Amino acid sequence: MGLAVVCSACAAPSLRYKTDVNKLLAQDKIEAADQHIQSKQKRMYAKKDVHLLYLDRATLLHDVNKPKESDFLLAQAQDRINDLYTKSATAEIGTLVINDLTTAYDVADYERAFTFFYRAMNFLQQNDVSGAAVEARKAVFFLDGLRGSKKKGYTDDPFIQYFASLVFESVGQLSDARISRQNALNAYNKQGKEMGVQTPNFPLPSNINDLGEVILFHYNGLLPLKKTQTIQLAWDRAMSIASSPEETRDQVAPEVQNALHAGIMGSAITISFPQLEAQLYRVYSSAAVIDAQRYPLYKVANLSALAKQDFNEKMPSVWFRTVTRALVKRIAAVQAHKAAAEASKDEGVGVLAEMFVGMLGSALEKADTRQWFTLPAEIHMTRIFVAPGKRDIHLLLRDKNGNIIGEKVFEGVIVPRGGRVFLHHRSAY
Amino acid sequence: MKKLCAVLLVLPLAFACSPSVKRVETNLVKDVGGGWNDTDAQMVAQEMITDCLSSGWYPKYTSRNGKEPVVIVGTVVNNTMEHINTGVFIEEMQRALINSGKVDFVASSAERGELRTERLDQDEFASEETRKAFGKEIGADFMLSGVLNSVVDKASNKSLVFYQVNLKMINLETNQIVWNGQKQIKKYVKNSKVSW
Repeated sequence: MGLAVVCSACAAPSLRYKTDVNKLLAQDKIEAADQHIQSKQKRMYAKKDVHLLYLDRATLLHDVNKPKESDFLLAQAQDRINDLYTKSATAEIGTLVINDLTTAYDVADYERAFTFFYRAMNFLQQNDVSGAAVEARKAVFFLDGLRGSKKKGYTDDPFIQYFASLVFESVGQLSDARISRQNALNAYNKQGKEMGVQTPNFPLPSNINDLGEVILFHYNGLLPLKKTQTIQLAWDRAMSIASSPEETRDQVAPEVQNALHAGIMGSAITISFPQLEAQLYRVYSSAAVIDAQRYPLYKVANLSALAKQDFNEKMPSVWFRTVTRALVKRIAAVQAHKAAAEASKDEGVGVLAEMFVGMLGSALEKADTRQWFTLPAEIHMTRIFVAPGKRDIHLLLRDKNGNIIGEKVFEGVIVPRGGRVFLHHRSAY
Repeated sequence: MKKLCAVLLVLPLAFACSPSVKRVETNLVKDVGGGWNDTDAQMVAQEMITDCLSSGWYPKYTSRNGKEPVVIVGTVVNNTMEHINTGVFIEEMQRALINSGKVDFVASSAERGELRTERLDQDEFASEETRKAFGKEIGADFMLSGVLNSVVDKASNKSLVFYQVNLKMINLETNQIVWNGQKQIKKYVKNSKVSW
């Protein structure tokens, strides 16, 4: 009963749920996607993972230009992430006995870095450059810490450093801007090729003081999704069943499937582990058109690659805990057999006890598929210097063959002399 | 007996679910998160304004001009890593200045905008005897403005946050900085690594 109570908090967003949200995103129904998240939040997000709910919603609210609402959720998410520094010892033990979902979702370093980016963009949309600068400082401080403490993996983020340098420039902190820009260039040189991103290179015109600047971000695509893969191995009959329980058409809950398989197979060990599944999207590149002039956007951030990097970094410890759990649960089942057989002096009762404990252990075995899945797969950007004034800006979205498959018009954008305008658009198809 | 036990088991849960609210004194010093809070704003404003008004520029001005200086509070720039409501800090400084009785105080630029709109309105709708004329505002002699900086040193579950507030009193006519004050606060924040 104790396990059942503990595992009532073991909810995690399912692949089907994430796919449903992504379908709405792909149809450009971002508000509907947010409403879908809200309608499913009690089922999909455990209370301890409320920060994940906030992050998933905050991205969508940002995408539909609701910066105040988005920032409210991001601020709460950041507070919760800071609070989660204190690790619960009992929950950590639970990862070796029950499943990886007993602990609150440990936000990946790149996800944490992007909370600063999204908050800064929200502040910029509300014309609060000072607020954006606070987030830029937090981002740079966080990345400095990573550079100092980590030897491999996500040790810096060139895009966020570059973005921070733009924000520092906007508040006149040129020294900080120069440092961030240099860190960005160093990081692009180090990681750019591996990540498949380009170093931003936007030459400044000589008459920059007479012009205004448009900085346009295009958030493109869908992040790869984590899904569960389960393998059951029967000791005595050398049988195995491998499945991705969420993928069946039977509408039977994955836990029940696992338990049934374990029961059928008898002395079975169940292991569940996450896998990354790439999501398809058609938009490949984009270009901005202002005053009949075309300006290409360049891919400057690859969040898909960051997600994959983080996933690969964490898999060794995931495997360790998965195997440990399998052994612990198997031992528990064997002990249950022994105890029940001795108590009842009936071997049959022992076998039933072993099956029951085995099925319970299998039902509780769940892979950790949690992630901030509403992030885009990549970010493209451009910086355009134009004469000050009011104008419409067109963002053309192209497929791999160069065909225009979508367009976004930013109407009546006021570009101030010597000032900057930050714009963004999300495409997920 | 069984029913009583069941009630006793469930009762704490019922109380645990509702939020706990307790009204406290506004001058209560209580640090919750370790960041900049109202106590810091009040303490810094009070101490710095006292220092400002007791420094040399004040008697020099009053003896030269035979009147108290007129001061306006300008911008306080936040260069820290926290979203600090500088409006609270500015209000604390204004309060400290007014309550000192040593300076005359005029409205900030944001407040002036609202007042001027009201005067325009009066120009159109108020009676001749009661409408307030334009061109009679008192110009400030000095502007008080500043910057809030912080330096954070963090390792594992501990962090040391150093705040430095710099304020300047600037002569609006000559751009002379007649007073430059500084106040520092250092906080040591330790979060638990493990809980049960």
